[in-house]
Amino acid sequence: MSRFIIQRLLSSMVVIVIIITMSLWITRQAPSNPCLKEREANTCVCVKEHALDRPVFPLHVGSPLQEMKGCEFWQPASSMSVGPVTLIGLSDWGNTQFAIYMKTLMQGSLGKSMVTERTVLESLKSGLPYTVHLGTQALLLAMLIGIPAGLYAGLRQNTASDYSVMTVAMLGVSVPSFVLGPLLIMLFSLELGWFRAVGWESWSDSVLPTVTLGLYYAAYIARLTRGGMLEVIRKDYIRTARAKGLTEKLVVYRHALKGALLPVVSYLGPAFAALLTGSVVVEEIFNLPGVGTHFVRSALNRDYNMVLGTIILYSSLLVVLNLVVDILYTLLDPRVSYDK
Amino acid sequence: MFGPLSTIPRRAICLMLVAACAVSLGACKKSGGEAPAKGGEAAEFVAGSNATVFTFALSADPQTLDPAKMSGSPEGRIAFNLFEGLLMPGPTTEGLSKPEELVVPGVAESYEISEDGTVYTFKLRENAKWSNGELVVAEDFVRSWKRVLTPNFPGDYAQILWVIKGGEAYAKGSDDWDSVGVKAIDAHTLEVTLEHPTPYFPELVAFYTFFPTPAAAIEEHGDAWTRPGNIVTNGPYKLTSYKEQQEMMLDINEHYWDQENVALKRARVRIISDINAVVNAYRTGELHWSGAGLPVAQITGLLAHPDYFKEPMLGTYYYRVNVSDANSPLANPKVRQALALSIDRESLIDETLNGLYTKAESYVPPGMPGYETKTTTSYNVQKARELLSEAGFAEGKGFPRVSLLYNTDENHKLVAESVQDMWKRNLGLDVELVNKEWKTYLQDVSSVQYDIARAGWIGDYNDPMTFLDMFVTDNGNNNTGWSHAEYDQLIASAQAESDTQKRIEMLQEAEKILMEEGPVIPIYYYTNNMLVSRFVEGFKQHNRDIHLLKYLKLPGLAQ
Repeated sequence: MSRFIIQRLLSSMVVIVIIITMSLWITRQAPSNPCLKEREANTCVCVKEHALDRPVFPLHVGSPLQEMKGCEFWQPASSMSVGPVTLIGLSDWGNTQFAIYMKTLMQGSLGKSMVTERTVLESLKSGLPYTVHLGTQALLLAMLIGIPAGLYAGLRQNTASDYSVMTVAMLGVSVPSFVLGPLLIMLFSLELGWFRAVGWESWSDSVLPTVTLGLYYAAYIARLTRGGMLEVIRKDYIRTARAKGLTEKLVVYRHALKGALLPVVSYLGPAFAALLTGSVVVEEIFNLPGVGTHFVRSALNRDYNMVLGTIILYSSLLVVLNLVVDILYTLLDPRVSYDK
Repeated sequence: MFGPLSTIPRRAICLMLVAACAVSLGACKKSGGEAPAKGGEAAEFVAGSNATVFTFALSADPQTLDPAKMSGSPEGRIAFNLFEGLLMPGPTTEGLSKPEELVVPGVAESYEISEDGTVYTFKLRENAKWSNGELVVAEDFVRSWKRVLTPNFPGDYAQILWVIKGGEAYAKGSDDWDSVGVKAIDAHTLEVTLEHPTPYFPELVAFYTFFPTPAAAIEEHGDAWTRPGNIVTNGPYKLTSYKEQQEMMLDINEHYWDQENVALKRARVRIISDINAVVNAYRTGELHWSGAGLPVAQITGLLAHPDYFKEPMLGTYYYRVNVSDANSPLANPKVRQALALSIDRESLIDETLNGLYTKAESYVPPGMPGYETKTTTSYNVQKARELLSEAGFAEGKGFPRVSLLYNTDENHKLVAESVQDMWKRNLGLDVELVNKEWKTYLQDVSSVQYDIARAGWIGDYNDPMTFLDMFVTDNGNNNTGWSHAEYDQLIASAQAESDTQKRIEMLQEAEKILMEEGPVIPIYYYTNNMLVSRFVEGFKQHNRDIHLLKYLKLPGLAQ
C-alpha cells in the first residue's frame, strides 16, 4: 500500500511539472501582456540582459511602449519575481524561465502578482479557506441529499416514486448555477430577507452559495447511487443474503449499500475537485473572497505568476484528491488491492 | 404495480413537486410582473438599513494604494480619502464658471502664481500632519515628486509630472535634480516652476500622482508600505484594516488638520466586483452608496428610485478610425466625416441605451469651466451621402468590408450593432463586428491593427488639453496613425501660451481640425449612474466622479 502511495505521488509530481511547463508556455503565448493598459503607462521597462529576478515577455509589435525601439523584451518595472529572457531552452538550461520558476517553487514561493502588490501565495492563502469551506459544505449537502434520494429511488425501480425523484434530479442537473444563484438571492435575500445577498462574514452567508453549488452534485449523486443500487441488488450475493432469510433492511444496509456506493465514492474525488475549482461562478454571483475569482481575473489580466500559482494549486488538489479516492476504494471493495 | 410501501411517499412527493412548481412559478411571475411597476414600489428598500457605519462599494481591489503608482478609479476612490495634496478637488463641479473654483485648499492654505503663469508658490499650513503625528512639510512634496520622476519609476501617471520644469529630462535619466523646478524654500513654502504656463496646474496638484508619500515608511517597508499597520497617510482618513476581496475600514486620522469638521468618522468599503451583486447589496440595506455605475439591464427599474443619482462625466465614448493604411478608404477624411454624420445619436441613446447618456457631437465634452466647443457633428444623412460619393463610393458601391472592433461588454455590443445598422441603412456600407476580450482588444488598438475601434476617454483634469493632446503625432494614446502638422502646431502653441483667451481659441481651432480631419467619431458623453442614500448630505455632482467622504454627512448614523 505504502509503495503504491509513493509511486502515485512520484508520478503526480511528473504530472504537475508537465502542467507547469505547459502553462508557462501557454500564458506567454496568449496575446497581449500584463504591461498593456488602456492608457500609455510606463509600468514596464526594456531589458537587454538576463535580469534574473523578474518575469520577461516578448514585446508584441507596435505596443505603446514602442518609444524605446530596438527593445526585444520587457518586464514590469517594479521589482517582481523571477524569469529571464528564454522561456524554455536547452542551450542555457539553468537560465530559462522554466528553470528559474522551478527554483523559486522549490524555495516555497510562487512569485509576486504582476498586477497587485501582493505575492501569489498571500492571495491564494487568503482565498483558499473560503473555497475549501464552500466546497466541503456543498459536497456534504450533495451527499446528504443525493445518496438517500438515490437509494430510495433505486429500491423502488420503475415506480412513480422512482420517476418523481429522478425527475427532480434531472431538473437539478439541468439548472446551471448562474440561474439558480440569482433565483435564490431573489427569493431568500430580496423577498424574504433571510440571508445576505453578497459577501461572507458569518456562517449564514454560506448557505445560499452552498445550495447553489451543491444542488447539481446532489442530483448527479442521486443518479449514480440509484444506478449503483440497481446493479448491486440483482447480484448473486444479495440473493444469497435474502435466501438466508435476512430482513430486507439488513440486506440493504449490510450487503447492498457498500457496493451501491462504489460509483459514488469514485465520483467524490473528481466531484470535490470540481467543486473547489468550479466555484468560480458562484463566487462571482455572491461576491465571495475565494480562489476562483483570482483564477479568472488573473487570466484576464495576464497576471502570469498568479495564473501559474492558481493552476498549480488546482492541479495539486486534483491529483491529491484522486489519490485519496483510490485509497478509499480499497476500504470499500475488498477485491481492490494495490499490493502485488 | 405499486406496492403498499410506495403509496404514501408517492403522494408526498407529488405534493412536494406541485408545491415546488407553485413556488417557482410564483417567484417568476412576481418578479416578471414587478419589473415595470418598479417605480411605485421602488422605495421599499432603505439604503444602509443593515449597516452601522457609512458603507460604500468599491468595484475591485485597488492594484496599489501608493498614490504615486496608481491609475484607475477604485484606486483613486481610496487615495483621495487617505491622502491630501497641496490642493484638493472641491465638493462639486456643477455650475462653476472659472477653473480656479475646481479646487479647494489642502495641505497648502494659499498659493500665488507668477505673472507669466510658470511659477507657483504654495504656502503650506503649519498644522498639516501625517497620521503618525509628524508635520507635513515642503520637503515631503519634493521627495515624493522626485520619487515619481525617478527614471523607470513604475507609476502609470508618472508623465503627468513632466509639466514641471526639467521633469521630463530627469525622468529620462539626466540625473540633474537641481535643475528640476521643485524647491522647498522653507519648511512651509514650496516653489514649483513649470515648463509652460499650465492653467490647469492647480487641478493637477489636486490629483493623486502629486500627493505626498511618506518617505520613512517607504524606506522601511518597501512595496509593503501600503499595508495596514505600515501605511502612513496625511488625508482625513487612515487605513485600519484591509481584507482582500472583502473590505477596507477607513477611520478618521486624528492628526488631520481639519478633522473636527469631518462628519463621518468611519467608513466601510465593501469590495464587490459584480455590479449586479452591488445592486443586491444595496437593496438589502448593506450599502449607503453603490460607488460605481449601475447595470444597464436593471436600470429601468431603478430610475424612479429616490436614491438614483446621475451626474455628467468628463468623458467621451467614441470610435477611433485607423488612418495609417493609405490604401484603405478610411484614410480619406471625407469617408470618416460621412461615417460620423450618418450616426443618429439621439435614437441610439433613447432607444438602445435607455437615455442614460448624452449625445456627443464633438470630442471634448461639455462642462469644463471656461471652455466651449465650437464644432458640431450632427446627424445629416444627406451630407454624409454627398461626402461618400465625393470620395468615390456613391451609395457605398465599391466600398470594402471594414471591421468594427469592440471589447466584450453588453453596452459596447448594443452600440456597435446600432451603428452597424445605421451605416448600412444610411450609406450602404457593410461593417463587420469584431468582439475581442479586453487585453487582446488593447493590443489590437495600441498596435493599430483594426479598421474602426470602440474607445472611451475620461479626462484627467478640467481642461480640453486632456482630450486634445493625445492626438498629436506619435502620442502614446493616439493609436490611429493620424498626424496633422497644423494640429500639432496648435497644441504646441496652446501649451506655451500664457494668455487664457488666446489659448482657448487655439484649442477650439485644434478641436475643429480634429473633428473635420481627424480619426475620431464621437458617440456619446459618459454619465455616471449610481445609487446614493437620499439621507446622505453633501453628495454633489462631480464630473470626474470624485466624491470625498470628508464632505459627506449622514445624520442619524451611530458613527
